[in-house]
Amino acid sequence: MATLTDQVPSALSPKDKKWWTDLRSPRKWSRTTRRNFITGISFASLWILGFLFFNLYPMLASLYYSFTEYHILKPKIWVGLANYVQLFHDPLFYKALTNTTYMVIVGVTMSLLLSFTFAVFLNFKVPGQSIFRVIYFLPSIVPTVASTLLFIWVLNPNQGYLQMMLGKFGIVGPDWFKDPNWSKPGLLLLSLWGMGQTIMIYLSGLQDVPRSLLEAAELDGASWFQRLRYITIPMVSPITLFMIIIGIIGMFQYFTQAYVFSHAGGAASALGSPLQSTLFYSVYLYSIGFQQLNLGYASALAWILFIIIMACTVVMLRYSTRWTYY
Amino acid sequence: MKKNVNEIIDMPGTDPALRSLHPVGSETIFKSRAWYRSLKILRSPFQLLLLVIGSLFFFLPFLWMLSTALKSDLDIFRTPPTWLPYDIKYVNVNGQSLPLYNVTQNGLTQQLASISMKKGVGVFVDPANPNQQLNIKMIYATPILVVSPRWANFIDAITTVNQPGSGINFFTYIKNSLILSFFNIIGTLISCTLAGYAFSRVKWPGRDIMFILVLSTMMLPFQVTMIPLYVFFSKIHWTNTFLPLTVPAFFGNAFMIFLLRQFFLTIPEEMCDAARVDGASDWQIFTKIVLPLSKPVIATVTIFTFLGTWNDFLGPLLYLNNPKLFTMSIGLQDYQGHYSASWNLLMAASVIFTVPIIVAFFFAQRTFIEGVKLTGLKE
Repeated sequence: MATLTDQVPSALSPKDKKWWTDLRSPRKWSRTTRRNFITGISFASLWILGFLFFNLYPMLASLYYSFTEYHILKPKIWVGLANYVQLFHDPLFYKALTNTTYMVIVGVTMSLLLSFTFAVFLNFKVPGQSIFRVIYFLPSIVPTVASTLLFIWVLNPNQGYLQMMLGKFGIVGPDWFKDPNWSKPGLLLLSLWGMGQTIMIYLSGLQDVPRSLLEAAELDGASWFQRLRYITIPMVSPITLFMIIIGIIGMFQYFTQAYVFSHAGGAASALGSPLQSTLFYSVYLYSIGFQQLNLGYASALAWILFIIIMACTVVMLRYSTRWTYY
Repeated sequence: MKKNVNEIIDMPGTDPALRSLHPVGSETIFKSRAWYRSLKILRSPFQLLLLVIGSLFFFLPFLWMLSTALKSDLDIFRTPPTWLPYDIKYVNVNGQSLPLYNVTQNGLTQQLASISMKKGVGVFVDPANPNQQLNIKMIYATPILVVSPRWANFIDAITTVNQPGSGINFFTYIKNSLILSFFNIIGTLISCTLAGYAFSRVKWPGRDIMFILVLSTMMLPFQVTMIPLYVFFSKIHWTNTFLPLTVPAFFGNAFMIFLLRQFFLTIPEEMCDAARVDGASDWQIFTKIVLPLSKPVIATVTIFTFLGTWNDFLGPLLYLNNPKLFTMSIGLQDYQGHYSASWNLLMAASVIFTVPIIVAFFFAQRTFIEGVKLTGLKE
C-alpha cells in the first residue's frame, strides 16, 4: 500500500494533464462515462459539500476579512492592505515569527535526528525488542493536554523529578516557566517525548530498505556506518522530506501545548508568558482573533501563515530532488 | 563488522536458491572468525543498554504521572520529591485513626500517636497504653512515613466539582468527550468511505483533479478556516452546542479519505467487475464487496478519529464556553486553572484521560502502527 510519503510530492506536481482532457467536452461523453460521472459525483457528494462549505468558503471568506477592519458584531469596513501593512510594523508579529522559527529549526531538526537514531536502535535484534517499541511509541498517543500538564509537573523546579535527578549530578536546573530562555527548550523536551510516531515511520522505512543492497555493500566490505550513510539514509530520504514538511506545518500550528503551558505560571499569566517567549504564531493569532476579537487582523495573520507554509513546502519539494531518492 | 556467510544465508529474506547453495552449517568456504564472534556477543548488551537509556526518557514521565496520581496532598510538595507515594502511618487507638510519630525524648525514641496539637505542643498517646496522654513539643516528633498509594485520588479527581455549585465534574467531561467521539466516528465513516469509493473504484471524469483537491486540503491550516467558520457558526447560533464539532465530520476528512482510497485500491478490480457483470449497482458493490473487505482500514479510521476527537483542544476551546459542555481536554485545562496546586488530582485525572487511549492501543496495536505508517498523522 502506498503511503502518503509517496503520494504527496507526486500529487502536488501533476505532471500528466489527463484530468482536464477528460473534462473538456462533456457532450461527447459516452453513456457509461456519463453514468460513471453521476455515480462518482454522488458518492463524493458529501465530501464535495464539505469542501465547499468547510474549506473553500472559509478560505475565501478569511481572505476577504483580511482586507477589512472586522470586529465581531460590528459591520466590516474595507481597509485594503492596511492589515498587512500594520502586520509588518507589529513587533509582536515578529516575536511570534521568531519564536515559531526557533521551534521549526531546532525542534524539527532535533526530532528528526533523534527519531532516526531511536529508529535505528529499535531495529536492533535484541531480546524484548517489541516491548521497547511499545515504550517508545506510547507517549505519542497521550492526549496533548495531559502530556503538557505532566511535563509542567515533571519540570517543576521544586517538586519535579527532572530537577531531582539533575541535582544528583550537582546541576541546578533552570526554572522552566519563569525563565524566558528556558521555556522553549522545555516545550521542545515535551515534543521530543511524543515523537514516537516519527520513530515508527522511520522504523518502517528502515525495514523497507532492501536487504539485498545492504548485503551487497557488506560483501564489498562497507562498514556498518558506511552502510548507514550511503544506503540507509538515502533510502529513507523520502520519509525525511515528508517529516520535514509535516513538521513545519505542525510547528506553525503549534498551539495547545503553548496555551496550557503559559497558563501554568498561574491564572493571571497571559498567553505567551514568560515574557512572550512562548508566543508562537498560532497563539498570537488566537489571542488577536478570539481574545481581542480583531477578526480582520487575525485573518491577515492566518493568510500570512498559509503563505509561509505553502512557500516552505514548495521550497522543500523543489530542493529535495537534490537529496531525496525515490 | 562483517557477517559470517552462513548468517547472511540464514537471514530471512535471503533467496532460497542461495540457501541451497550454502547449506546451513557448512563453514568450508568462509571460516567464522573468533574475534567476530566475541564482538557479536558484546554487541547485543551494548545495543540493549542504548535501548534502555532511551526508554528511560520515554517511560519515566509515565511513572511520574502514576506516582503523583497516587500521592497524598502533603506528599506532592515534599522536597526532594520521591518516586514512591508516601503517607503518614496511621494507627487505630480506641476506635480512632491517629497519625503515628517518632518521638525522641532524652535519647529515647518512641512511636506515639498524635491526638491534637496546639502552639507547637502536641498531645500524644502511646498506642500500647491508650489511657495515658503525653504533652510533648512537636519539634521532637517526626511523622512516620510508609509507602501507601492513595487510590482514592482517582475517585476524588472524577467527583471533584470543578466550579463550586455547578455540579459539573469529570464525569460530565468524559461523557461529553464520548458523545463527540461517537458522532465524529459515525460521521467520518459514512462520508469518507463513500468518498474513498468514488476516488478509487469509479472512473469518472474529473476524479483525479478532485483527488488532488482532497490532498491539498490537508495542507490548508485550520487557522485559515477557523475565523470564518466561527463567525458562521455563531451567526446560526451553533456556539455552545456540539454541532460545530460534529457536523463537519459528516462531510469528509481528507486524511481519512486518502487512507480509505489507498485501501480500496488494493481490492482486486476483477471482483468489482464480476459483480458489475452480474448486474450489481455501485451501491451494491460498495456495501456488499468493498466495505466487508475493508474492516482493517475501517478500524484504523475509527481509532484515529477517536484519537483526534478525544485529543482536540482548539475546537472545543473556540466553540464551548459552557462548562456543562466541556470535553476532557478543556475540562482538564480549566481544572488546572482552578486547582493549580492539586497535582495529585490533576495527574489522576490525566491518567483517567489517557487510559482509554492506552487500552485502545493494546487492543489494536497493529491498527495503530499501520495507521501511523500510512499517514504520518499528527494531531
